[in-house]
Amino acid sequence: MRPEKRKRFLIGAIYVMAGFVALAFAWPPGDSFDWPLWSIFTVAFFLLSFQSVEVNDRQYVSSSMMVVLTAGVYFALEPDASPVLAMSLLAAAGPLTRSDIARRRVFVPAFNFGQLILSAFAAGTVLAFLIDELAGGSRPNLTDVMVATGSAALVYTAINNVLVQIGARLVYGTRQIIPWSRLGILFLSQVLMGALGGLLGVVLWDSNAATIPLVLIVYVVGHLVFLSYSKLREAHESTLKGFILALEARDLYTRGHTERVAYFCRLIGEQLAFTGTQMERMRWAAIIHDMGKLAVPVEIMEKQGRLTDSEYRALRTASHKVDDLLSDVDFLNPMVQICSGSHPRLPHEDFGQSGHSHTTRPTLEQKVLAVADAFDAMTSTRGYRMAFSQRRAFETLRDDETPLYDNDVIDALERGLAGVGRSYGPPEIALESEEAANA
Amino acid sequence: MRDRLKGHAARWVWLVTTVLTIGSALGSAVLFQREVGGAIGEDGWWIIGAAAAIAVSGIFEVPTASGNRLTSSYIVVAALPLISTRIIPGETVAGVEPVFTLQASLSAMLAGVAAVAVYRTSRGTDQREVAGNLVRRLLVFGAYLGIFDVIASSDLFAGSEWRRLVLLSVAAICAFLTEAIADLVFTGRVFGGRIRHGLASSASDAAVFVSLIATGALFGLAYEAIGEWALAVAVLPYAFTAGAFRRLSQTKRTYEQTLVALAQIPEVGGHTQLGHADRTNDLATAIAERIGVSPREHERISYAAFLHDIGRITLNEPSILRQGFTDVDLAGWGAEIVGETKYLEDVATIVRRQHEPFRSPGEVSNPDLPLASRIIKVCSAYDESVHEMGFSPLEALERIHRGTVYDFDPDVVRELRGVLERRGMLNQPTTVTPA
Repeated sequence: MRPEKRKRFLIGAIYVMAGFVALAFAWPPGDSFDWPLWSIFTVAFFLLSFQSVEVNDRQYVSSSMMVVLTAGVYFALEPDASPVLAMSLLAAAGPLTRSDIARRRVFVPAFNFGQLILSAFAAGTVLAFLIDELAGGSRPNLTDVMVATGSAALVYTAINNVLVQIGARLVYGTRQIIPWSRLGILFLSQVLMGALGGLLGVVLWDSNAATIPLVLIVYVVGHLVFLSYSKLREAHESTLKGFILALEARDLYTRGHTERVAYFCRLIGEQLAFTGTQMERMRWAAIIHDMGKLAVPVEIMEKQGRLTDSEYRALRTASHKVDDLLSDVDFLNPMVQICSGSHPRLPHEDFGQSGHSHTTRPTLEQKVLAVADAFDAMTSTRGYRMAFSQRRAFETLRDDETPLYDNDVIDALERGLAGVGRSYGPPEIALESEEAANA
Repeated sequence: MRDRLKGHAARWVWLVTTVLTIGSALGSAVLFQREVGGAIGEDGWWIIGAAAAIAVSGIFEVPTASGNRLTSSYIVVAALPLISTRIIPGETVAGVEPVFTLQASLSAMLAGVAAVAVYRTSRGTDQREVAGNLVRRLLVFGAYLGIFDVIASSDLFAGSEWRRLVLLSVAAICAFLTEAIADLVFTGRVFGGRIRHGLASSASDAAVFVSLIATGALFGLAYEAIGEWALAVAVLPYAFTAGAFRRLSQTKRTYEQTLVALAQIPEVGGHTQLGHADRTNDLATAIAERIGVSPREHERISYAAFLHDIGRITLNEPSILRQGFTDVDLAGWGAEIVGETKYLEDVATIVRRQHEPFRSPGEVSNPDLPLASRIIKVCSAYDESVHEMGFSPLEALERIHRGTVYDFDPDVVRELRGVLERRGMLNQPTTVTPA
């Protein structure tokens, strides 16, 4: 724990130092620096940053970049005021967030202090340079201002995102974080928001103080964008938690199973270079893949030993009914598709339900789930047989002709398990002796 | 084939009527110009442009938390009186008369709103709904433009830079009140004694309304400052508004869809009657409406009614069946599952306490037992009597009546009778003679 803490302290200190250096570079403010207006911006920036929302596991965003760019453009258009200082100083007000205070974090605000100032400093430099260069001292042409604003927004968002990702990776390590998804659309929203902020700066500069309240309303709208992302994510996550609890309520075996299948899916996904969005989909699919169990008749649940064909059919029909229910939930629909195609089928099996892809060839995601599911089933003890060793499980899977058990996916799982140095199933030696005894 | 032809026809009808509407707007603009004098000039084009903008934006709607949908035309209407300095009566720019007047904006608004109505009808929206919306839009937009015009001709805040913002805010507040009242009237809530319910849903629309109006106002102000770039100033915040509120309403839908799916799992597993959750919800919300609860409470009752039997999904677990269980256990397990969702925490309490009797011997009542739990206990028992035990509605109600000594809240049972009477269910013949 100690070296971990020292590392954090060091990174935090470096970021804070870098922030102060950038501020020193940006000084002085210039003679006609409008301090009252700057204070309004600072309050807006502080409030928006304070309300940062979690859009991915430990990824917080806010719409405060709008304020930075409004201020930047406004001060760049003023004849004798430094936009770089205005933006950097503004950013210095932003590192405190509600969640950090709630969790009494010190490192994260320190880190944000540095990275916000650096992003603002870079964006300010780009903005000032472009406006000077394009306008050449005269009253700047609007198109030029737009180009400068867009570039500055891009620079700000890009640097901000890169620094945050580096920081998060340094501190938490990738293992403990649920893969981040929808990064593309989030990035795009941020850039567009920044550009809009710049436009608002032009409007503000060209009209009077009465525009300020309208601009503030637009800031709030920007906040709502990320808030809605975060709320939706929370809705998905907490519904899934409800599902997990429904599944494992009184059954410890399933709990371990669902968690392990999700973990194997993640290992395979990492090996196959899945995107964050795909990884998230796989995780959800793994979480709901056993929901069908909840509708299985108790006689079948209770049975020790192999199921007859008709019992197996009853089991599958029950789980299909649940799949049908779940596919009515919009956000689960793609996941249900993955799950319902991930079971090996009996010959001529047809349930006639709509919305399930049965006859088509399995997709990569279905294969991943099928391999993860089968691997865990084989390496754990079930009512009717002993657990397989890991090696034997892989061999059995490779020998299976079903297109679901794709060798590439099996290889990926093997590589992934080797990568984290874990092994599942009973140890090899015990099993071999058992086989010898059987022979 | 017939469907495809129908589709084509609908598209043609839409196209032709739209052209006709825009044509009539154009005609009215020309006529208007004639009256004022001169050929169709810049102002005529203004009207046509504004009408087209209202029509196009009217096709897009922004969903709100209450389930209403607000039209994006608010942006255009809010911007209309600001779009040029000449529009505000009394404010003239270097020798140009304020020609684009109230009549002009009203005629643009009329044409635009009519075009939207035509479009909606052609897409198969219910005609009564379209007509209702048409009237509502005319009232609200008319209120906005009219009030703006009236106060603009006063010397409110004359000469101040805040003048426009004040005009705009006053007009917007009046328009919103008009909208709220129209909403109450059109949804019939004024007559059903459910005004509180309606007002609360209007309040939740206010956020969307404010951001749309602010977007329009910003466009109006920015147009003067930065010309055509003002479109970006309007389009981007609009896209953000629409996206944000769509996602927020999706959030609610996610919870609702999930709980409907969850609620049916014990049914397909054979642990409760098919449709029990749905019917319990139906009765419980009907009773809640008769009692007159707040919208939030209404939602809670509905969710709890759906999920009240969710604990039964544990009943295919052999170990549970072996060790045995009680109603208290089932309610507790259900509450545990529901409580895992943060949004539904208070629903979990309702589910946990659904089995508690209304009063125990020696008590007048169980004072802190939530109303929702009492309602659900009654509704669930009634539905079981009818659909599981095969009693007629009247017999089932009689059984519940007998339970009012301890188990059921007499007030809730009275409302249940009211609901059943209103639905005409108590006239059905009795199948079993009550003991």
